[in-house]
Amino acid sequence: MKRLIMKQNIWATLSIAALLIFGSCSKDFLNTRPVGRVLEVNYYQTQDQAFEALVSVYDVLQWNDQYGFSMFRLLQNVASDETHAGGSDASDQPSWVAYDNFTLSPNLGPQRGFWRKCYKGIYRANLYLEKIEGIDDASQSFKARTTGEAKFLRAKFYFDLVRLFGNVPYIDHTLGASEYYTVEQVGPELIFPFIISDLEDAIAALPSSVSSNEIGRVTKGAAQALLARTYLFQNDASKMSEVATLSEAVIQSGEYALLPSFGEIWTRDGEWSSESVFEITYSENSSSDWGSFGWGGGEGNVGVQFVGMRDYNGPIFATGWGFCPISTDLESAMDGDPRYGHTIIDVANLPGAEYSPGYQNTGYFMRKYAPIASSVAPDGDPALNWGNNIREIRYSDVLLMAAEGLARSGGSEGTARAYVNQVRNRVGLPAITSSGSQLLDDIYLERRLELACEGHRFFDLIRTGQAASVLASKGFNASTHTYLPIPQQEIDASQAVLTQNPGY
Amino acid sequence: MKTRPPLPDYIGNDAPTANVGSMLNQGIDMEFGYDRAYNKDLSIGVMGNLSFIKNEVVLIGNDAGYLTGAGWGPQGLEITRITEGLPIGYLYGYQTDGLFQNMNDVYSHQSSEGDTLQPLAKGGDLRFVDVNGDGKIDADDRTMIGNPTPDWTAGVTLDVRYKNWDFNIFGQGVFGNQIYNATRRYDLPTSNMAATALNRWTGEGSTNEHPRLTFDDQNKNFARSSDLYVEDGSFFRIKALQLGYNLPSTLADKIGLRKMRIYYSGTNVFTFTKYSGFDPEIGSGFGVDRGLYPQARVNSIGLNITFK
Repeated sequence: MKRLIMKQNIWATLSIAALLIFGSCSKDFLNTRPVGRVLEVNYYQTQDQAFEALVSVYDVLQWNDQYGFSMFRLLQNVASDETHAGGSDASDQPSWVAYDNFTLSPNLGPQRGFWRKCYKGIYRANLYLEKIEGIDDASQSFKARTTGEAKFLRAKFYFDLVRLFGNVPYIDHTLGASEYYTVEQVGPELIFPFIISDLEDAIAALPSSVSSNEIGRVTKGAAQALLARTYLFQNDASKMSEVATLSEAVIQSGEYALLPSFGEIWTRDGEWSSESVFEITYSENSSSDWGSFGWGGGEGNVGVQFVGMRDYNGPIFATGWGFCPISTDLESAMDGDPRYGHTIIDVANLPGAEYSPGYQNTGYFMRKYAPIASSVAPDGDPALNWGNNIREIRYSDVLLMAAEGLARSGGSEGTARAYVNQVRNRVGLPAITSSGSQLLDDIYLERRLELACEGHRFFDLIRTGQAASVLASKGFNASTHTYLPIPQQEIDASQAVLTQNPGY
Repeated sequence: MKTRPPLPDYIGNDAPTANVGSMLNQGIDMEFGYDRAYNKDLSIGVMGNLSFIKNEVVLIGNDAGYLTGAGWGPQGLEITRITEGLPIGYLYGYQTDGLFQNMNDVYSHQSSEGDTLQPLAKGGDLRFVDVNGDGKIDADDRTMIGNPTPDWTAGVTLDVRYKNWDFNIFGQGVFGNQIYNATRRYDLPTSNMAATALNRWTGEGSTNEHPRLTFDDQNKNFARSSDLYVEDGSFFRIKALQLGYNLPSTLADKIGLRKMRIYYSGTNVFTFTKYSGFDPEIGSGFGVDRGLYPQARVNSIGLNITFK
């Protein structure tokens, strides 16, 4: 018995010695890839992962929660003459009030949220564009199309940045630590060529339509329309023929048509209808609560909650927080227009409706994105879970861009009038017959009424140079307020790479 | 000291966790225990621990010498900071010195040059301290207004058995820390308030603690981070308490059982604190009470029966 134990001991000793001698740890053994955790280094292997990464770029479009409430379109309404800031009182959302009154300062205003959101999106798009080529699992057609999508999205974020801030760093790749403080802040004239080139690539790569299970992904038409909008915003007479060409390409594609009823656009059934060239998609099914807020966690549209009437009790609508009360200016401009009832809620003429007037109350509220009682989200905090999509590019906008492009490039005024009249005819308004500068004025008026409270007016006023006069009574000063201040926190954190915009 | 240093947002991604500084913790840990069976009927056990700590951030590896801490509300009001030479995550804001009782008080709150420091104030408004003495009240006067790290941390357990009775109690507490009571919307004058607002300033001499309530808060009584929101966070709490009785085995036998025990058990039974919020154990937040759902007090009565 003793012998046997001895024998076993010898074998055990030998095996341990052998392990020590021959089995010394290799480098691979020490540097394991973490399993069970998704990291940048072990991701981007398959086409499915690439698609998830692409979705994360799209995701940023809907973020409304960066450094507080940062709804892009609603804040453009506030800055324009369409709506006031509103809310419960003047101290409800100080940054909104500052944008409304142009009492902006480097520390006060909506700039920080816009800035962060756009650069988050740009980072994700850049990362996608860096990774997609190396994913062998992905098909060539997948790579081509999604590269176009990422470029569209990057262009969209830069277009927003350049309209809001003018002078921003153009970053076309993900920055390594050594590059953090080497970026260069450049003016719009240097950024627009990048936006245009990204959109041209996108137009070449994107399909003209998407199948019903891909609703939400961008199309060639969306990229053409965004490029038309980009040229239009530059307000350069030599680019107006481009605006017309691109918009007419969308029109002639046959993919889009006006809905017969203007009101239907704003229903949930009207989402991604034939009139939608591009929408930012939201969902009422993500059960978001305040834990999802601040980092793009939820999928709902809190903007809808914002524009509802405070403590509302009555038919059709759900209660909201009383932001963006419509100005009496816009209300009287729309008086008698068939689109009035789909654009403006006149509470005084809504039988059985009660609400608490808030700050800057006019008694008129936004109808297009109003909270509807029958659409209250089933789960989560209802305020954070409205599913209403933002109609980012509507076909009627494309028609009006085509008309403006033609009218300003010496194109056919007859065709321009025909486009405007399509928009007017849909709501039963008589055709316009004007020409020359009157035609252009008619187009601008049609844009104001057709696209009221959709967040286009402010940039329309800026690009056409009308802001200085139209917004003067609100405190707008073109030499300062054409652009937002660069966020002070960004200047502080940038180690003096960034400088402030003039006037702030 | 590992934390995420602030980076410019144009980078588009969060900073990796980095070693941004160092801090020094000095203190004493004490533990004592006593356990004795006096006879077959009585035994007593006591265990206790007590820690004293002094925390100081020694170095922050950036030019500013501080890191921005927690924010509060939609405006992101800065309410904590990490600064060289001060305790980590100290509460940050304006120092106040009671309330102005009348306009005379307002006018007599002057800089060394004789300028009124708070010309917009009225009776019932907070008197802010010109900490840096530069003759104006502004953001540069913000300073340390509290320390979220307790000086003392203590825990005690007592275990007594007497005949068929058993009794067990566990208590713990912290002393010498402050809590930032960030449980309400400071920026909305119409938002709901704690019942302490009933004791607000309503006229000369009414109080020196709670400022007046007004829709037109020119003095920024509530819109500034100040020691108005800072409270003593010390507490001692009976976390667990249990009292049980075992039926004598002869009696249990008589009713056909092997064993029977009746007990009462409670968690969070008593709390001794001056803190006015829901719960001085504020959960996550490091000294900032954001109104997380407080811990429940549980009272339960139980019966253990072992059948033959």
